[in-house]
Amino acid sequence: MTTNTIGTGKDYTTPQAWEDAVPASLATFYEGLCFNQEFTAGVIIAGHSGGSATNYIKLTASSGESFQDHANVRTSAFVYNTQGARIAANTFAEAVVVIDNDYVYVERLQINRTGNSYDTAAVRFSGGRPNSRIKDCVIAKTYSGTGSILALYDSLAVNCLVYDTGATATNAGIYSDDASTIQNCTVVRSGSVGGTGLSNGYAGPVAKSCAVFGWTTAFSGTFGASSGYNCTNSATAPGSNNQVSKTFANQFESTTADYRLKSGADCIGTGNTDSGHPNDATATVRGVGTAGDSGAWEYVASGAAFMPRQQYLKNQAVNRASRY
Amino acid sequence: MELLFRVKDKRNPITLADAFYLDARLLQRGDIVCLMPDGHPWSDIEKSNPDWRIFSVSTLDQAEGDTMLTPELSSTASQVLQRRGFQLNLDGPVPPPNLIAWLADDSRTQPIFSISIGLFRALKIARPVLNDPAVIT
Repeated sequence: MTTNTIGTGKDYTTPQAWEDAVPASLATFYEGLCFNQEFTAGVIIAGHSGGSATNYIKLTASSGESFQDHANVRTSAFVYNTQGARIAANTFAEAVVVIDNDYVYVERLQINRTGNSYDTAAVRFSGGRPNSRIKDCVIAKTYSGTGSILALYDSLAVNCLVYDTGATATNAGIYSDDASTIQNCTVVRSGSVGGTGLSNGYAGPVAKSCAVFGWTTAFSGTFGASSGYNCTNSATAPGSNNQVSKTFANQFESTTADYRLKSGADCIGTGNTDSGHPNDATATVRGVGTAGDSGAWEYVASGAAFMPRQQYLKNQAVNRASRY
Repeated sequence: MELLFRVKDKRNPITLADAFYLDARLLQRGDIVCLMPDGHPWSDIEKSNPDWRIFSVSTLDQAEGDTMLTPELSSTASQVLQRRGFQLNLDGPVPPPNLIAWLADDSRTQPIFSISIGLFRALKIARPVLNDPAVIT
């Protein structure tokens, strides 16, 4: 295991410098830990060989440096903000984050595509990466362009907030192909209705327990049989156990600037928590199975007990200690 | 601006069947890794990595520097698109002797080398195109 810190005054100044220092041929796993600052250039993770379940690349936030770790994560607006490590860039002809290798994990970061020179995604998986994933991230497109926000190719997206604030809607909040899985993601468009929430080029991706609102078309294309438990304003959603024709304004604290579920939301208790991902994007423990919510945010009633972040981190430390 | 760039190629094992295509997606000698403002506090790791060097080009602006980070576009003649569309030609006739000596010094006793905007522009070239070895032209 090789772990390095990323940020001003850390091991590497930028995520791209860290990635370039990772050897071409992977011999262990390489973990880059971003600190709480805004990086203004994107990162491409590509060209490495030897990836496996034990030899992988992970780009994440250092402990205490993610939006997920912030003391006010449950009370602050759930959008791209200054409360954790983040990348905001207008990278010419490339996505802000490009994942062009298998066995790459991107977690606990905020990513914002801020401009549209040579329109591309905020996050793009390239070339079919069935063992790569993005998890617990806020992914924003805050410009008026048409590129998809998150492009998946045979990959997994879980617990991600994907949203579009541009005057011109994106073609797809999440574009995916046949072997991708989109799970517990909130995919929303603020402002004027437009674009497509989830779109696929090849039949088969699975969309489950997602909250998809504000688009002209919530789901476009043919989705896999295990899709379901989605919640949307559209009249249809793939699979079974969906909540359809629900009102956007009834779901979130704000339809433009805060995608926390609010009391009475139709997304509450309508998801189906995957046992492999028992927490939401803020590391709050979800309701088990069908007691969980649709989307990246798990609603907790005021005064109700939920696992505080400090307890969660303590549990993680105990688990790590027992592992090594 | 200050530019962190590679002075050594980064390669996968040649025994890999797809090494050629993987290598095209890696940064190579003369490729810019990242740009930072003048006076950036580079880490000891960044100042000592023998694969890297740092140029200081005081009058280089962000927009011109960013061109060094753009990928090779599909509009070029390359059959295999490379990670960067431009690079610094460190092996041509342009670099003066003192720069050549600095580039060759892996001990990096002088971590940062100042060059003029004119020399930077003289070093900048479009990446040579890559032909796909699997395609008969």
